[in-house]
Amino acid sequence: MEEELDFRNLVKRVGGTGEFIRHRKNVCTGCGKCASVCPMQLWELRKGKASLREDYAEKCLECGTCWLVCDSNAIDFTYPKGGTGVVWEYG
Amino acid sequence: MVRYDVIVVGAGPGGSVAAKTASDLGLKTVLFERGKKPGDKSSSGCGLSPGIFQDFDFMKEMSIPSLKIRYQALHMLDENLDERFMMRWSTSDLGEYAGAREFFQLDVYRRDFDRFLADLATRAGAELRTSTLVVDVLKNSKGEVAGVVTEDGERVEGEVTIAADGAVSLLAYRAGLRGKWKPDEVTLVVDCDFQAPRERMDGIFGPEEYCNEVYVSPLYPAAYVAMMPEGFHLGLGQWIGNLASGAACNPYEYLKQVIASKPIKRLIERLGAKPREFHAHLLPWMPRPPTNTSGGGIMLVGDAAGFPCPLEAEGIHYAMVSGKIAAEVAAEAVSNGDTSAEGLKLYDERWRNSIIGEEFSAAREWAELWAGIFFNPSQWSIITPLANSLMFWASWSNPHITNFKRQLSFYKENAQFVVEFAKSYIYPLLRKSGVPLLRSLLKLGWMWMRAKRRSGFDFGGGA
Repeated sequence: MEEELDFRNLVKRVGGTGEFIRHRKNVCTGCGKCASVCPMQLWELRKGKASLREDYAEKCLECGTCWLVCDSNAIDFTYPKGGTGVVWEYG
Repeated sequence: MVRYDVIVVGAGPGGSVAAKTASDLGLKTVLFERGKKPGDKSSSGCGLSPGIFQDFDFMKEMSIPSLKIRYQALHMLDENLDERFMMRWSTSDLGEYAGAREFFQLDVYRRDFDRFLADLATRAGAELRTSTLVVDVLKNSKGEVAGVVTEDGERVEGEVTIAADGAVSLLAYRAGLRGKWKPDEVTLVVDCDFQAPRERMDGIFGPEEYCNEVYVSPLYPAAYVAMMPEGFHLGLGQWIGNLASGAACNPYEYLKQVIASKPIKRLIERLGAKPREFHAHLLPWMPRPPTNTSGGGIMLVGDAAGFPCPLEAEGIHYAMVSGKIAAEVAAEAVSNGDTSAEGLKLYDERWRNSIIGEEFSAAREWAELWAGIFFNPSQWSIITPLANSLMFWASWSNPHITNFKRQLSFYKENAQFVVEFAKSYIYPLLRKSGVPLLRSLLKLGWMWMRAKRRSGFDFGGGA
């Protein structure tokens, strides 16, 4: 059977983003909001804390929703370095 | 250090129009963009309204690929995702703008449109600095914004900073103008771009009869299909509050359901369409007028300010209007030598007196309409059968009068829903519009009586 296409892989990127999301585990309350909103499912709950995938920079769409919903301000979000990250040609 | 009159951050429609206007007014202007090219970071799609063409003369120069959308449609699906009712309509005669009768939108790719506007800005004299992320604001001793700091630590001074850096406006945050959006003020939109051969699109829809569609069902928030020059965008959104609380599921899960629904599968098959690019972005959708859109040395425009319209969150026109107003206010503030918070309050006053302020005069009513109906799947388990039963006369199974009676009793059974619907969504708008309800009802009653007295309909047979 044909494997189900994951539309989310259909994104062009320029590498060299640097770190642009920082998660402070000591502040995280493990509420899980970041995990429920992320369209790329880059967050998961582990042992009562949120955990960001290590390869997030190669998957993230830079929407900032995780940062927005984090009530305890455990997530710092900037953007990838100028000229790197997602490139949308058909937005 | 170079000193600018105006620093614009973000070369989207709001930022580029601000930079162009500021340059036209003789201000030394720099325009920062974090993408390699303007448009690289814009995923929202773009429907240009007739109003944009009316308000901005330079639109005459636009020659990018576009698709004229002359129709819109609403498809109602049931819980099996079968279509039960569909409405399709053309442009109305109500639009005051030239061209309003001719099209709803010209759909274009942001890549093309953002570059067109950024080119206008540079041609007017603005300096465009791409691949440059602005990470912070500079503040003077009075705590006013006096410039920006780039990712390399470069400090760029300017009399006025215009933050056009989108829904996640880091500048608004850093300048202390506002905290994060509240859960009911912003939505997350996911969207997939599909590519289709244009000849096939023209053959199926007719080159002059393109239609943008909304699909509703009891299973997911309203999804849209926006026809684009090389195919279409398919997407949907939901308020962050509903996503974060778990009241709605992850938007990607919804999108997968929509793509798997019968009408969309058929659309994809008929067009021979292929998924090409995935998008996600935050979209402010405010149930109240934005506040704190300016401060000492800084103004927020477009999505950064929360300006997408409260009914359907169209943001391009409002971004462009606010960008123009901000640049005009900047010019006055610079020439008066007063770029303080007090001096830039003029910006708030001006946008409130523009079409933006007019849109937000019924912000709560419009946003509640959308939140309560289009983004609330449970409503459609009732609305769709009610709409479908309006077509009682189309069934040949019973004598038509039998069907009519059944339809009436169906409506009677759901009378409470209908009344509550009118009370929640229609009545607030009537009130806002200043329609004197009692007088209107009395007048209707009077017209009813008169019509009854005069009812001399002659069907030709005579009595």
